[in-house]
Amino acid sequence: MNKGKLVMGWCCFAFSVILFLFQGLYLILRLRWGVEYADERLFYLLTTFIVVYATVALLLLMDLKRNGKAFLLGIATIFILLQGVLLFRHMKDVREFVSHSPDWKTYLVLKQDRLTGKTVYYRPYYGPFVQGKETLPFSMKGDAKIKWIQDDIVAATYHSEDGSIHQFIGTYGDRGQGSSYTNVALSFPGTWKGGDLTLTSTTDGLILQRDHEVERYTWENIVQFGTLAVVLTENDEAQWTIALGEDFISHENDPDPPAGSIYLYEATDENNEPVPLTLSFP
Amino acid sequence: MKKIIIGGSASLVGIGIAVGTYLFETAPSPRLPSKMETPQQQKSLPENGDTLQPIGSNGPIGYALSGELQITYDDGEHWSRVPIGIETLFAGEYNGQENELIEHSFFLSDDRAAFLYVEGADDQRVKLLYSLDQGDTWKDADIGRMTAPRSRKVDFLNENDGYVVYTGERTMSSEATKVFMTHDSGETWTEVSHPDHYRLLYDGNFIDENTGFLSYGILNPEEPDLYVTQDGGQSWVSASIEIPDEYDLIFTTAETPYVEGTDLVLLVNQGSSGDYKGGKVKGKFISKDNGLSWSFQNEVDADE
Repeated sequence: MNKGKLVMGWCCFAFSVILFLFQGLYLILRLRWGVEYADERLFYLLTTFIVVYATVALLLLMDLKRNGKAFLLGIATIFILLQGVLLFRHMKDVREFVSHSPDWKTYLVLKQDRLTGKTVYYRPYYGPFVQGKETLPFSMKGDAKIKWIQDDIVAATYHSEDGSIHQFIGTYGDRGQGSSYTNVALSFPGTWKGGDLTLTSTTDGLILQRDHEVERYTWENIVQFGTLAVVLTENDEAQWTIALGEDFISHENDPDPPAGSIYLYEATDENNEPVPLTLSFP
Repeated sequence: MKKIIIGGSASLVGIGIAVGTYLFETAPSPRLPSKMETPQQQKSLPENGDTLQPIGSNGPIGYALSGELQITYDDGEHWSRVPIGIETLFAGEYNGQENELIEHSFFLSDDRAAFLYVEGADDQRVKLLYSLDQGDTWKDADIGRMTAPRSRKVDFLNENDGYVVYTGERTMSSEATKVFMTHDSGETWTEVSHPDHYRLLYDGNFIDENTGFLSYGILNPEEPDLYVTQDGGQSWVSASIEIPDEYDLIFTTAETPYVEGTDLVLLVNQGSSGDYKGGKVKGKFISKDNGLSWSFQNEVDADE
């Protein structure tokens, strides 16, 4: 047998076995610990690769007669078609949002049941594996607009069934400040300015001014996510996200005013950018 | 031989793919960590029933934590599994031992079992899982939102009325307090007001559906800081506690009042660092106006 064919055949055989074992490991993780692929389409894709590699390996390594080859290709085709059908059905049932952070160190995963709109937020577990963390408080209708405000803060802006707009914020880590919990809205006292926006944090809540328009948010209307961001709401609708910049230092435990920047990100369908704010006066 | 290895492996891979695809498609979606399991009747002897000891016993009633939460109504002879994740019982700002439930975070009586727990990671909600038939069936009540709950307390005053007090969102030495009441055995909970006060809560209770107390001050308090409501939490006023001069800066922390005969009694302890008489005495105060003002009675043993 041609040596090149032989090497290629054994390589394909090895690939198919390795992928097969990987898929087996995944199934154990999924059934035992509720771990999923970030994008479950990967399951169908890898299974198709296994079939293709195994088929090529068999064709190259075995001296099959014509009937044998036809039988093998037939079986492989059935397997691949089956995966295609299942993949199509899966995509019809579930909408998956996967978004990598700008520095590619983490990623956001949302999975939406298309029928009910129920959407689950997943945390990265290891590599492509994720685990369900919590269900979004409102069923999602249509798409979510994903925006990374910082490398470790991502905002998903979406509509619920009644058309109201919401923001869900994924935060990744506490930036090594050593505290398990921080009241974000209390960590940036003073008046902050950026662009046409002025944000003032007082003991009663937050006051946001854009041009001559002033909005006040009491503590009941400020929803915290992780230790890095809050969403300002009115009538159960999101209006703004405030995220702590990576250069932000709260100085919570000393008398110095906070330093660095915070970011305001408006809850809107438009393609908007987060606005950086810096401390104007403490 | 080569053919057998390759052919056999390929066959195994084929069978594996078929079985794996079937398992993948038919397995239920992975559960969320915060999601409740379907309540179900599970009354049986646990596998390690001979070693399971009831904790927090109230007569024959008690619970056990051994990888899962179970309750008993016959001093450990039979156990019912409580369908709740252990981690949710300790979620929030709690750093204590997890071999016993957080004090006051549960209620066990002949006709009721109730457990406060915290659902969610970023958007945390305080909830109550409760049973009115000794663990045969369970219901779930949503109490309210609170990020990083710290202290939590549930109690029932009678068949219908009960209250939940919890705090959270702590920053340094301030935090938010929430008070909820139920008048339908725990099915629905209504938030009532709380004092406009953000010190760390020491304790809180209601002695009936109208009269309740919240005591503040954990970090080096200098005097008791007790608030009282007499209208079911609609309004709160600061209670007047007359501390005799000789006990100034000694009796600093008000405990939750209780009824003793016809009197309303309040014990005021010395805080965590008090050393008057070795820290072994508290001040006993009496109120004749349903908790608005308190007059000193005498010293009592700290373990009273």
